[in-house]
Amino acid sequence: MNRTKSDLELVQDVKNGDRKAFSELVVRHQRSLLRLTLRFTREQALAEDIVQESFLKAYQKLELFEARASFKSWLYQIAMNTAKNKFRERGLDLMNIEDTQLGVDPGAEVGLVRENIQTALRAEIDKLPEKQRMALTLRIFEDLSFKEIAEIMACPYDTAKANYRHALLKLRERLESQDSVAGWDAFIGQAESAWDGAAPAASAQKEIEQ
Amino acid sequence: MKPFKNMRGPGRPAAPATESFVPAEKWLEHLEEEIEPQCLTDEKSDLEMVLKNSPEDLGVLESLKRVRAAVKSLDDVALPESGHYYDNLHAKIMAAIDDDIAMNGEPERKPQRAPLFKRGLFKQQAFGLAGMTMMIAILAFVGLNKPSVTTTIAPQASIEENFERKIASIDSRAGARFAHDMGSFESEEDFLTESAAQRLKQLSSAQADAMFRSLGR
Repeated sequence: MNRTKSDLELVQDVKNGDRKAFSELVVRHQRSLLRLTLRFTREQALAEDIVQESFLKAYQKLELFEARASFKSWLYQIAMNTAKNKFRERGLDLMNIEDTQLGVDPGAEVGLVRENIQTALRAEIDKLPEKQRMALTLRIFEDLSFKEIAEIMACPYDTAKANYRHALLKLRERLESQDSVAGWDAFIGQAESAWDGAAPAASAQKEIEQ
Repeated sequence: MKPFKNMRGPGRPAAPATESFVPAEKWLEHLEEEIEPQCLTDEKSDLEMVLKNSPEDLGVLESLKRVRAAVKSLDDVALPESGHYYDNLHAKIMAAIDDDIAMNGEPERKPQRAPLFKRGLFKQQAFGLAGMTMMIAILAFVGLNKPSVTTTIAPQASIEENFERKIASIDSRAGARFAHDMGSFESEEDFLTESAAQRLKQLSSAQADAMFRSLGR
Protein backbone atom coordinates (compact mmCIF):
# COMPACT_ATOMS: atom_id res chain seq x y z
CA MET A 1 0.00 0.00 0.00
CA ASN A 2 1.40 3.42 -0.97
CA ARG A 3 2.10 5.66 2.00
CA THR A 4 0.54 9.12 1.73
CA LYS A 5 3.31 11.67 1.34
CA SER A 6 3.54 14.60 3.71
CA ASP A 7 3.30 18.18 2.47
CA LEU A 8 7.04 18.63 2.91
CA GLU A 9 7.78 15.52 0.86
CA LEU A 10 5.49 16.75 -1.90
CA VAL A 11 7.24 20.12 -1.84
CA GLN A 12 10.58 18.32 -2.23
CA ASP A 13 9.14 16.45 -5.23
CA VAL A 14 7.97 19.68 -6.84
CA LYS A 15 11.40 21.21 -6.33
CA ASN A 16 12.82 18.15 -8.05
CA GLY A 17 10.60 18.77 -11.07
CA ASP A 18 7.47 16.72 -10.32
CA ARG A 19 4.49 18.90 -11.17
CA LYS A 20 1.99 16.21 -10.21
CA ALA A 21 3.11 16.64 -6.63
CA PHE A 22 1.91 20.25 -6.73
CA SER A 23 -1.43 19.09 -8.09
CA GLU A 24 -1.75 16.92 -4.97
CA LEU A 25 -0.96 19.93 -2.76
CA VAL A 26 -3.73 21.90 -4.49
CA VAL A 27 -6.23 19.12 -3.87
CA ARG A 28 -5.27 19.02 -0.22
CA HIS A 29 -5.45 22.70 0.56
CA GLN A 30 -7.85 24.36 -1.87
CA ARG A 31 -10.92 23.87 0.30
CA SER A 32 -9.47 25.27 3.51
CA LEU A 33 -7.87 28.13 1.59
CA LEU A 34 -11.21 28.94 -0.01
CA ARG A 35 -12.88 28.96 3.40
CA LEU A 36 -10.26 31.35 4.78
CA THR A 37 -10.50 33.79 1.88
CA LEU A 38 -14.30 33.58 1.79
CA ARG A 39 -14.35 34.50 5.45
CA PHE A 40 -12.56 37.76 4.71
CA THR A 41 -13.92 38.59 1.27
CA ARG A 42 -17.51 37.30 1.53
CA GLU A 43 -17.57 37.09 -2.28
CA GLN A 44 -17.18 33.66 -3.82
CA ALA A 45 -15.81 34.82 -7.18
CA LEU A 46 -13.23 37.05 -5.50
CA ALA A 47 -12.29 34.26 -3.08
CA GLU A 48 -11.73 31.87 -6.01
CA ASP A 49 -9.48 34.41 -7.74
CA ILE A 50 -7.44 34.84 -4.58
CA VAL A 51 -7.12 31.08 -4.13
CA GLN A 52 -6.00 30.64 -7.74
CA GLU A 53 -3.49 33.47 -7.50
CA SER A 54 -2.17 32.18 -4.17
CA PHE A 55 -1.45 28.72 -5.56
CA LEU A 56 0.21 30.25 -8.62
CA LYS A 57 2.45 32.40 -6.41
CA ALA A 58 3.25 29.40 -4.24
CA TYR A 59 4.31 27.42 -7.33
CA GLN A 60 6.43 30.28 -8.63
CA LYS A 61 8.10 31.00 -5.31
CA LEU A 62 8.47 27.49 -3.95
CA GLU A 63 12.25 27.93 -3.75
CA LEU A 64 11.64 30.52 -1.02
CA PHE A 65 9.80 28.01 1.16
CA GLU A 66 12.34 26.74 3.66
CA ALA A 67 10.13 24.46 5.75
CA ARG A 68 10.58 26.57 8.88
CA ALA A 69 6.78 26.79 8.98
CA SER A 70 4.27 24.29 7.65
CA PHE A 71 3.37 24.52 3.96
CA LYS A 72 -0.23 25.25 4.94
CA SER A 73 0.80 28.23 7.10
CA TRP A 74 3.01 29.55 4.30
CA LEU A 75 0.15 29.19 1.82
CA TYR A 76 -2.25 30.97 4.18
CA GLN A 77 0.23 33.80 4.53
CA ILE A 78 0.40 34.15 0.75
CA ALA A 79 -3.40 34.13 0.57
CA MET A 80 -3.76 36.83 3.24
CA ASN A 81 -1.26 39.08 1.47
CA THR A 82 -2.91 38.45 -1.90
CA ALA A 83 -6.31 39.28 -0.44
CA LYS A 84 -4.99 42.49 1.12
CA ASN A 85 -3.54 43.54 -2.24
CA LYS A 86 -6.81 42.81 -4.03
CA PHE A 87 -8.74 44.89 -1.54
CA ARG A 88 -6.21 47.68 -1.72
CA GLU A 89 -6.74 47.77 -5.49
CA ARG A 90 -10.43 48.27 -4.82
CA GLY A 91 -9.73 50.92 -2.26
CA LEU A 92 -11.07 48.75 0.52
CA ASP A 93 -9.70 47.54 3.83
CA LEU A 94 -9.60 43.74 4.06
CA MET A 95 -10.31 43.68 7.76
CA ASN A 96 -13.20 46.14 7.64
CA ILE A 97 -16.29 43.98 7.79
CA GLU A 98 -18.57 46.92 7.09
CA ASP A 99 -17.21 47.07 3.56
CA THR A 100 -18.09 43.47 2.84
CA GLN A 101 -21.33 41.66 2.31
CA LEU A 102 -22.55 39.60 5.17
CA GLY A 103 -22.97 35.99 4.12
CA VAL A 104 -26.11 34.76 5.83
CA ASP A 105 -27.30 31.23 5.44
CA PRO A 106 -30.54 31.71 3.50
CA GLY A 107 -32.08 28.68 5.22
CA ALA A 108 -31.61 30.00 8.73
CA GLU A 109 -34.35 31.84 10.57
CA VAL A 110 -32.83 35.07 11.77
CA GLY A 111 -34.79 36.78 14.50
CA LEU A 112 -34.60 40.54 14.77
CA VAL A 113 -33.07 40.41 18.24
CA ARG A 114 -30.42 37.92 17.23
CA GLU A 115 -29.59 39.95 14.13
CA ASN A 116 -29.19 43.08 16.22
CA ILE A 117 -26.88 41.33 18.65
CA GLN A 118 -24.82 39.86 15.85
CA THR A 119 -24.56 43.29 14.28
CA ALA A 120 -23.46 44.74 17.60
CA LEU A 121 -20.91 41.99 18.03
CA ARG A 122 -19.55 42.45 14.52
CA ALA A 123 -19.26 46.16 15.15
CA GLU A 124 -17.23 45.50 18.29
CA ILE A 125 -14.98 43.09 16.41
CA ASP A 126 -14.59 45.68 13.70
CA LYS A 127 -13.27 48.19 16.20
CA LEU A 128 -10.40 45.89 17.16
CA PRO A 129 -6.94 46.62 15.75
CA GLU A 130 -6.19 44.66 12.57
CA LYS A 131 -3.75 42.18 14.11
CA GLN A 132 -6.06 41.42 17.00
CA ARG A 133 -8.95 40.83 14.61
CA MET A 134 -6.82 38.55 12.46
CA ALA A 135 -5.61 36.51 15.45
CA LEU A 136 -9.18 36.23 16.73
CA THR A 137 -10.49 35.13 13.34
CA LEU A 138 -7.79 32.56 12.77
CA ARG A 139 -8.14 31.12 16.26
CA ILE A 140 -11.89 30.99 16.66
CA PHE A 141 -13.09 30.49 13.08
CA GLU A 142 -10.22 28.54 11.57
CA ASP A 143 -9.37 26.65 14.76
CA LEU A 144 -5.67 27.21 14.20
CA SER A 145 -3.06 26.78 16.91
CA PHE A 146 -1.10 29.80 18.11
CA LYS A 147 1.98 28.35 16.43
CA GLU A 148 0.15 28.31 13.07
CA ILE A 149 -1.24 31.78 13.66
CA ALA A 150 2.24 33.07 14.42
CA GLU A 151 3.53 31.53 11.17
CA ILE A 152 0.72 33.04 9.10
CA MET A 153 1.00 36.46 10.69
CA ALA A 154 4.81 36.27 10.58
CA CYS A 155 5.14 37.19 14.23
CA PRO A 156 6.48 35.46 17.36
CA TYR A 157 4.34 32.86 19.09
CA ASP A 158 3.82 35.04 22.18
CA THR A 159 2.75 37.97 20.02
CA ALA A 160 0.10 35.85 18.31
CA LYS A 161 -1.17 34.71 21.71
CA ALA A 162 -1.13 38.25 23.05
CA ASN A 163 -3.09 39.59 20.06
CA TYR A 164 -5.77 36.96 20.55
CA ARG A 165 -5.88 37.48 24.31
CA HIS A 166 -6.24 41.25 24.00
CA ALA A 167 -8.98 40.85 21.38
CA LEU A 168 -11.08 38.49 23.45
CA LEU A 169 -10.63 40.41 26.70
CA LYS A 170 -11.55 43.66 24.97
CA LEU A 171 -14.69 42.10 23.53
CA ARG A 172 -15.59 40.73 26.93
CA GLU A 173 -15.19 44.12 28.51
CA ARG A 174 -17.38 45.81 25.88
CA LEU A 175 -20.02 43.11 25.72
CA GLU A 176 -20.36 42.74 29.49
CA SER A 177 -21.76 46.22 29.45
CA GLN A 178 -24.41 45.02 27.01
CA ASP A 179 -25.99 42.59 29.43
CA SER A 180 -28.98 44.87 29.55
CA VAL A 181 -29.61 44.29 25.84
CA ALA A 182 -32.79 42.38 25.55
CA GLY A 183 -32.31 38.84 24.46
CA TRP A 184 -28.55 38.84 25.12
CA ASP A 185 -28.68 36.00 27.61
CA ALA A 186 -30.85 33.89 25.34
CA PHE A 187 -28.55 34.64 22.41
CA ILE A 188 -25.50 33.63 24.42
CA GLY A 189 -27.24 30.47 25.60
CA GLN A 190 -27.93 29.46 22.00
CA ALA A 191 -24.41 30.40 20.96
CA GLU A 192 -22.87 28.24 23.70
CA SER A 193 -24.99 25.25 22.67
CA ALA A 194 -23.99 25.72 19.05
CA TRP A 195 -20.30 26.00 20.08
CA ASP A 196 -20.41 22.76 22.06
CA GLY A 197 -21.99 20.94 19.16
CA ALA A 198 -19.76 22.50 16.51
CA ALA A 199 -16.40 22.01 18.22
CA PRO A 200 -16.10 18.23 17.68
CA ALA A 201 -17.41 18.58 14.11
CA ALA A 202 -14.89 21.30 13.32
CA SER A 203 -12.04 19.13 14.61
CA ALA A 204 -13.20 16.20 12.52
CA GLN A 205 -13.43 18.37 9.42
CA LYS A 206 -9.92 19.66 10.06
CA GLU A 207 -8.64 16.09 10.33
CA ILE A 208 -10.22 15.17 6.99
CA GLU A 209 -8.64 18.15 5.28
CA GLN A 210 -5.25 17.32 6.76
CA MET B 1 -9.57 24.36 53.60
CA LYS B 2 -6.16 24.92 52.13
CA PRO B 3 -5.76 28.62 51.31
CA PHE B 4 -5.00 29.11 47.61
CA LYS B 5 -2.07 31.30 46.86
CA ASN B 6 -2.33 34.78 45.45
CA MET B 7 -2.10 34.22 41.73
CA ARG B 8 -2.30 37.84 40.72
CA GLY B 9 1.46 37.98 40.45
CA PRO B 10 4.30 39.43 42.47
CA GLY B 11 3.83 42.90 43.82
CA ARG B 12 0.09 42.82 43.41
CA PRO B 13 -2.01 42.64 46.54
CA ALA B 14 -4.44 39.78 46.99
CA ALA B 15 -7.83 40.42 45.52
CA PRO B 16 -10.55 41.82 47.75
CA ALA B 17 -13.52 39.57 48.38
CA THR B 18 -15.54 40.89 45.42
CA GLU B 19 -12.82 40.45 42.79
CA SER B 20 -11.35 37.34 41.20
CA PHE B 21 -8.16 35.96 42.66
CA VAL B 22 -6.76 35.05 39.27
CA PRO B 23 -6.34 37.61 36.46
CA ALA B 24 -8.65 37.20 33.49
CA GLU B 25 -5.60 36.64 31.24
CA LYS B 26 -4.73 33.50 33.17
CA TRP B 27 -8.30 32.22 32.91
CA LEU B 28 -8.16 32.77 29.18
CA GLU B 29 -4.98 30.71 28.95
CA HIS B 30 -6.62 28.01 31.01
CA LEU B 31 -9.60 28.11 28.69
CA GLU B 32 -7.43 27.83 25.62
CA GLU B 33 -5.41 25.02 27.24
CA GLU B 34 -2.18 26.73 26.37
CA ILE B 35 -0.64 26.71 29.79
CA GLU B 36 3.03 25.86 29.54
CA PRO B 37 3.60 22.14 30.06
CA GLN B 38 6.01 22.59 32.96
CA CYS B 39 3.34 24.48 34.85
CA LEU B 40 0.58 22.15 33.88
CA THR B 41 0.44 19.96 36.93
CA ASP B 42 0.90 22.55 39.66
CA GLU B 43 -0.79 25.52 38.06
CA LYS B 44 -3.74 23.65 36.63
CA SER B 45 -4.53 22.03 39.95
CA ASP B 46 -4.25 25.41 41.65
CA LEU B 47 -6.65 26.91 39.12
CA GLU B 48 -9.11 24.07 39.61
CA MET B 49 -8.95 24.68 43.35
CA VAL B 50 -9.65 28.39 42.82
CA LEU B 51 -12.65 27.61 40.64
CA LYS B 52 -14.12 25.44 43.35
CA ASN B 53 -13.77 28.10 45.99
CA SER B 54 -14.15 31.43 44.22
CA PRO B 55 -17.47 32.30 42.57
CA GLU B 56 -15.90 35.48 41.21
CA ASP B 57 -13.21 33.53 39.32
CA LEU B 58 -15.79 31.08 38.08
CA GLY B 59 -17.75 34.06 36.81
CA VAL B 60 -14.75 35.38 34.90
CA LEU B 61 -14.14 32.02 33.26
CA GLU B 62 -17.79 31.65 32.34
CA SER B 63 -17.91 35.14 30.82
CA LEU B 64 -14.87 34.34 28.67
CA LYS B 65 -16.58 31.17 27.48
CA ARG B 66 -19.69 33.17 26.59
CA VAL B 67 -17.79 35.74 24.58
CA ARG B 68 -15.91 33.06 22.68
CA ALA B 69 -19.13 31.22 21.91
CA ALA B 70 -20.77 34.42 20.76
CA VAL B 71 -17.92 35.22 18.37
CA LYS B 72 -17.98 31.66 17.05
CA SER B 73 -21.69 32.01 16.34
CA LEU B 74 -20.87 34.70 13.77
CA ASP B 75 -19.19 32.05 11.63
CA ASP B 76 -21.58 31.84 8.73
CA VAL B 77 -19.28 31.01 5.85
CA ALA B 78 -21.08 28.62 3.53
CA LEU B 79 -18.71 26.55 1.45
CA PRO B 80 -19.80 24.75 -1.71
CA GLU B 81 -20.19 21.06 -0.98
CA SER B 82 -20.10 19.63 -4.48
CA GLY B 83 -17.05 17.57 -5.43
CA HIS B 84 -17.53 18.71 -9.02
CA TYR B 85 -17.01 22.32 -7.87
CA TYR B 86 -13.62 21.49 -6.37
CA ASP B 87 -12.58 19.48 -9.42
CA ASN B 88 -13.28 22.57 -11.51
CA LEU B 89 -11.41 24.83 -9.09
CA HIS B 90 -8.43 22.48 -9.17
CA ALA B 91 -8.48 22.44 -12.98
CA LYS B 92 -8.60 26.25 -13.09
CA ILE B 93 -5.61 26.51 -10.75
CA MET B 94 -3.48 24.02 -12.69
CA ALA B 95 -4.45 25.72 -15.98
CA ALA B 96 -3.27 29.06 -14.58
CA ILE B 97 0.05 27.46 -13.68
CA ASP B 98 0.36 25.93 -17.18
CA ASP B 99 -0.33 29.34 -18.76
CA ASP B 100 2.29 30.95 -16.57
CA ILE B 101 4.85 28.31 -17.52
CA ALA B 102 4.02 28.73 -21.21
CA MET B 103 4.59 32.46 -20.89
CA ASN B 104 7.53 32.61 -18.50
CA GLY B 105 9.00 29.12 -18.44
CA GLU B 106 9.40 26.88 -15.43
CA PRO B 107 10.53 28.66 -12.27
CA GLU B 108 14.18 28.01 -11.46
CA ARG B 109 14.50 25.07 -9.13
CA LYS B 110 17.54 23.84 -7.29
CA PRO B 111 17.45 20.03 -7.18
CA GLN B 112 16.87 19.03 -3.62
CA ARG B 113 18.22 15.95 -1.90
CA ALA B 114 16.27 14.63 0.97
CA PRO B 115 17.95 15.22 4.32
CA LEU B 116 20.33 12.48 5.42
CA PHE B 117 17.96 11.08 7.97
CA LYS B 118 15.29 10.74 5.31
CA ARG B 119 17.55 8.88 2.93
CA GLY B 120 18.50 6.25 5.47
CA LEU B 121 22.17 6.99 4.93
CA PHE B 122 22.35 8.73 8.21
CA LYS B 123 21.86 5.46 10.03
CA GLN B 124 24.73 3.82 8.17
CA GLN B 125 27.00 6.78 8.71
CA ALA B 126 26.01 7.02 12.34
CA PHE B 127 26.86 3.37 12.97
CA GLY B 128 30.13 3.71 11.08
CA LEU B 129 31.07 6.77 13.07
CA ALA B 130 30.11 5.12 16.33
CA GLY B 131 32.21 2.09 15.46
CA MET B 132 35.22 4.19 14.61
CA THR B 133 34.86 6.22 17.76
CA MET B 134 34.75 3.06 19.83
CA MET B 135 37.87 1.69 18.14
CA ILE B 136 39.75 4.92 18.77
CA ALA B 137 38.61 4.92 22.39
CA ILE B 138 39.78 1.32 22.87
CA LEU B 139 43.15 2.01 21.30
CA ALA B 140 43.60 5.12 23.39
CA PHE B 141 42.70 3.20 26.53
CA VAL B 142 45.16 0.45 25.71
CA GLY B 143 47.82 2.97 24.82
CA LEU B 144 47.46 4.88 28.04
CA ASN B 145 47.52 1.77 30.21
CA LYS B 146 50.34 -0.06 28.37
CA PRO B 147 52.92 -1.35 30.84
CA SER B 148 56.03 0.78 30.49
CA VAL B 149 58.60 -2.05 30.25
CA THR B 150 61.21 -0.01 28.46
CA THR B 151 61.04 2.81 30.96
CA THR B 152 62.01 0.51 33.79
CA ILE B 153 64.91 -0.89 31.88
CA ALA B 154 66.48 2.42 30.85
CA PRO B 155 66.69 4.00 34.31
CA GLN B 156 67.79 0.70 35.72
CA ALA B 157 70.63 0.61 33.19
CA SER B 158 71.67 4.19 33.93
CA ILE B 159 71.56 3.57 37.68
CA GLU B 160 73.53 0.36 37.18
CA GLU B 161 76.13 2.11 35.02
CA ASN B 162 76.53 4.81 37.58
CA PHE B 163 76.80 2.32 40.38
CA GLU B 164 79.23 0.20 38.37
CA ARG B 165 81.51 3.15 37.85
CA LYS B 166 81.40 3.95 41.50
CA ILE B 167 82.20 0.38 42.50
CA ALA B 168 84.82 0.04 39.80
CA SER B 169 86.56 3.12 40.99
CA ILE B 170 86.86 1.53 44.43
CA ASP B 171 87.36 -2.10 43.51
CA SER B 172 87.99 -3.05 39.89
CA ARG B 173 87.24 -6.75 40.47
CA ALA B 174 83.63 -5.92 41.41
CA GLY B 175 82.95 -4.46 37.94
CA ALA B 176 82.91 -7.84 36.12
CA ARG B 177 80.84 -9.48 38.80
CA PHE B 178 78.41 -6.56 38.70
CA ALA B 179 77.86 -6.91 34.95
CA HIS B 180 77.20 -10.63 35.31
CA ASP B 181 74.59 -10.15 37.98
CA MET B 182 72.86 -7.22 36.29
CA GLY B 183 70.39 -9.12 34.10
CA SER B 184 69.08 -11.58 36.71
CA PHE B 185 66.77 -9.29 38.72
CA GLU B 186 63.12 -8.49 38.05
CA SER B 187 63.03 -5.08 39.58
CA GLU B 188 65.30 -2.18 40.16
CA GLU B 189 64.93 -2.39 43.93
CA ASP B 190 65.86 -6.08 44.03
CA PHE B 191 68.95 -5.52 41.96
CA LEU B 192 70.17 -2.55 43.89
CA THR B 193 69.53 -4.13 47.24
CA GLU B 194 71.25 -7.39 46.35
CA SER B 195 74.14 -5.63 44.67
CA ALA B 196 74.67 -3.40 47.60
CA ALA B 197 74.48 -6.29 50.02
CA GLN B 198 77.00 -8.36 48.04
CA ARG B 199 79.40 -5.55 47.64
CA LEU B 200 79.22 -4.38 51.18
CA LYS B 201 80.07 -7.86 52.39
CA GLN B 202 83.36 -7.73 50.49
CA LEU B 203 84.46 -4.24 51.28
CA SER B 204 86.70 -3.34 54.12
CA SER B 205 85.45 -0.68 56.44
CA ALA B 206 87.82 1.87 54.95
CA GLN B 207 86.67 1.07 51.44
CA ALA B 208 83.05 1.24 52.53
CA ASP B 209 83.60 4.64 54.08
CA ALA B 210 85.27 5.87 50.94
CA MET B 211 82.44 4.55 48.84
CA PHE B 212 79.73 6.21 50.84
CA ARG B 213 81.65 9.47 50.81
CA SER B 214 81.81 9.36 47.04
CA LEU B 215 78.06 8.76 46.88
CA GLY B 216 77.43 11.89 48.82
CA ARG B 217 76.47 10.33 52.15
